[in-house]
Amino acid sequence: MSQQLPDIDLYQKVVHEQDAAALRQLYQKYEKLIYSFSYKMTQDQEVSEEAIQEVFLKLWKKHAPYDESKGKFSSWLLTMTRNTCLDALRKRNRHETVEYIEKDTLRVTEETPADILEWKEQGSAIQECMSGLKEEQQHIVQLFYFNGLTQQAISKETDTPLGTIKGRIRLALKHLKACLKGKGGHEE
Amino acid sequence: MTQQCDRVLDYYNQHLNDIEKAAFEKHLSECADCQEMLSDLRSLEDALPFAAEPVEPPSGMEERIFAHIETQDSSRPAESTPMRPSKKKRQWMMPSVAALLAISLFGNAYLFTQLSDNADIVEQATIDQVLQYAELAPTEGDASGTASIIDQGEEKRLVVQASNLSALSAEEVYQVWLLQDGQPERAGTFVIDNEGRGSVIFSMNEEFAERDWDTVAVTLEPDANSELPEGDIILASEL
Repeated sequence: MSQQLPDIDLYQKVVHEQDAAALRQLYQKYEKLIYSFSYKMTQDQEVSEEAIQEVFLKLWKKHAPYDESKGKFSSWLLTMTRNTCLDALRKRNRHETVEYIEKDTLRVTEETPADILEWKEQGSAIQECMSGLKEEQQHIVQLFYFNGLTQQAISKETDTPLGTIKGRIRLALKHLKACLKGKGGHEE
Repeated sequence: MTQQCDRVLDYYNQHLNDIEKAAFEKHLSECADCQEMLSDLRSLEDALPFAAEPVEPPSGMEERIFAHIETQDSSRPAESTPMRPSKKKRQWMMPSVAALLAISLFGNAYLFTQLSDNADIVEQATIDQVLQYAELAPTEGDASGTASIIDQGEEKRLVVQASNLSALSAEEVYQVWLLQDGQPERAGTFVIDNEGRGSVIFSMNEEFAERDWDTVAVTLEPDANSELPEGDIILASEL
């Protein structure tokens, strides 16, 4: 695994040479990260798997052009994963609300692939920053960013007036941004 | 702050339909506040996914996914659709299409999409079922039409009927497109009679039938060979 090509080279091989092995390498590198992310969003094993399948099918069929102007490959892949999960969520429960997931219900594993060292690094920064938020702010970020709920649904779920949702999310984002910056982590 | 500002969250989470989206994007181009909100969100996009607790993927997921990709790979579209030539308009920008539609529709009592899940229609020996039905809205003029996706047992067909269409010259044709996430695929070509009426029935192959099309559109093309829309959009609707 250590002699792996950079993501962009693998991606080029996938789209220009229809190199299935390159697609598989990308898959193996990011499987656990995007699965964990999908699972956090959908809280459903089957829906997560379908979403990931769709993401890689799009990649393979060139329905999702990527180039370096779109930022890091991994960020782009995660954004595409999020959008696909949002789609799936919208189709599945247009009218249902998604339950806030408790940490201890997850099948959390300890090991993290060596390739995804950045997960460990970035993960600890963002997780610390998240836990630095007030509980209601954490909840609202979960509902908005991970569960992709509508403003209306968030209002209902948190029993907060519709008009104040945006302000609360905004405040939470500002806190997160400042906190991450303080950790010398991610900042565009 | 305007009412549009209240849509920024639903815009980000993709809950707006094409018309709302186009209206919001127009607003966004002029609203510093909404731009800032989105830029805050985007600057966190690199970090937030890493807040997901590591979860073990289900066993066999990789094999299932790659087996699926291989199956998809061997089934090519039924219509003679060669791999998309990389010329001319590679991207058909939905926002601008939607914006066009929005302009023509806002004054128009919002007749946009009518979905009917279970409207049975009876026809000769088989019982066909309408899976999706949409009234096509004109971008300008008074053309009108409908699009239905019909389940005929083993097969799915897209039926488009339109009227009040402008006369065609020389090699011009009307071309039907199905779109998913702004990517168009050809879905039938037709010319019209003296009264400006035209219809087309397009048989979907397996790949087409499985896809989750979000928009149907009719364009006027210079000839029957456009692999991507080149002409004006005449009629369109969300599905």
